[in-house]
Amino acid sequence: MRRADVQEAGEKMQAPRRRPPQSGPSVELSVRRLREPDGRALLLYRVTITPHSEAGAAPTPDVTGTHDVRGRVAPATDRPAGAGTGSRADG
Amino acid sequence: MGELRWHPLLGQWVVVASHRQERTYKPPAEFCPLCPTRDPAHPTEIPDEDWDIAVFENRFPSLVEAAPPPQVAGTALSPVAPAQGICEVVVYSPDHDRTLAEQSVEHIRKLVEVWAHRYEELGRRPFVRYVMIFENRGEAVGVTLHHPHGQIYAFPFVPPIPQQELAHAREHHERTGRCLLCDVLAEERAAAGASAPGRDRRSGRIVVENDDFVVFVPFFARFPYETMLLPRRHVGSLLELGDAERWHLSEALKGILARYDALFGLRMPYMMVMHQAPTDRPVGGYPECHFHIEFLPIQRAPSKLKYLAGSESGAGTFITDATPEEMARQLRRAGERLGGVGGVAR
Repeated sequence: MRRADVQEAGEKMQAPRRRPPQSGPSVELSVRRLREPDGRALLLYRVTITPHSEAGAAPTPDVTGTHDVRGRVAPATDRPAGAGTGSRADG
Repeated sequence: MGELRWHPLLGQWVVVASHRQERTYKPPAEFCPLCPTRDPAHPTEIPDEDWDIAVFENRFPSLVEAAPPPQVAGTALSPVAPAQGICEVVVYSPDHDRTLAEQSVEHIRKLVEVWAHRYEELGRRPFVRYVMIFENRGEAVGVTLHHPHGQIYAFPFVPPIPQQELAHAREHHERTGRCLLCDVLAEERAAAGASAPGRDRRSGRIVVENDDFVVFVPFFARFPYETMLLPRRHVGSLLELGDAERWHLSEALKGILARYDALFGLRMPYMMVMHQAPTDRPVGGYPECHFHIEFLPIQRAPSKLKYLAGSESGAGTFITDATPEEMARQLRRAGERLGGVGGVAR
């Protein structure tokens, strides 16, 4: 690895290549894009699986909506005793 | 925040992230930060239950998009760089107790879709060169939150192990004109007798297989019960998988994870690491890259863990306590008790 690896790369990933045609149930992904109070992104995904015979009626995914929920999460210092540093997490 | 510091002997970056010492540590279930908020007086990371899978940026990230300048000056031998990147947490479901192995194939199929979406979206960021999807499972691996979840790191560089794998795959491709992992898979299938009728097909290292995926203990396994999940078709990432393949991937995932838990009758601690093409070129820009998932368990016996000790950590040489063939046999036998969930070794 070179140190220059952290520099910005050139042409980026584009569309998928040679993905085979779909034949089974329809799988539709939608996402609600929220923000934590400190600005971190929160994405809530719904993935709808529709049997093939009903695939034509599958809902159009919403992948662009943005909703602000600032103020929804209390500061870490307000957490109940015993909850560590609060209900914020890093996995 | 910290920074990247260059390790001149190993030729790799070290991420300094001292703020992570303060991260949430094993909270009780009633204060789980990954559960949906049920009591407004005790909000969590996630406001409601109207979702299948939730993804959020880590509150204690190792890498951040708006990385500050390094807090220290580099040296002539060890330059420093901003720790730029993105660290996300992937909450598998609102259910606090249901691990990935215990999810339905249909729910895993949903997760595959989300993984593909995150890989594509993060990979499009100009500063991201490599997107790693992974899961650390179990306290023995170091998990500090019990709610089943995985993580995604979007690195500004290609990390050492994927880089080493790609270098060897590229060398093999240039020398033979073939994909290295396609050839590894051919060897595994030959060892299993798939290409030699009459041989004992159960003597190989394949544990689970279906029409599109094969899971096997590699001939060169390093960890106890280590497996590799490989698509039969040569693809570089999740983005190139068709719908049927994504279903078969979900089945194969369920198959191997269920076998791990059945092996010792406990939730197997493991690291699951997805290897996909770097994202600094258009899709298909790394023809030598063959998408795969590695499962690296650390439980070598019902009450014994495998530690990465002197030889592994100091020399990079792994020592295993059982043969890969025996590990595969035990995992297949665990699968028989499950009724062949996820596919069987054919």
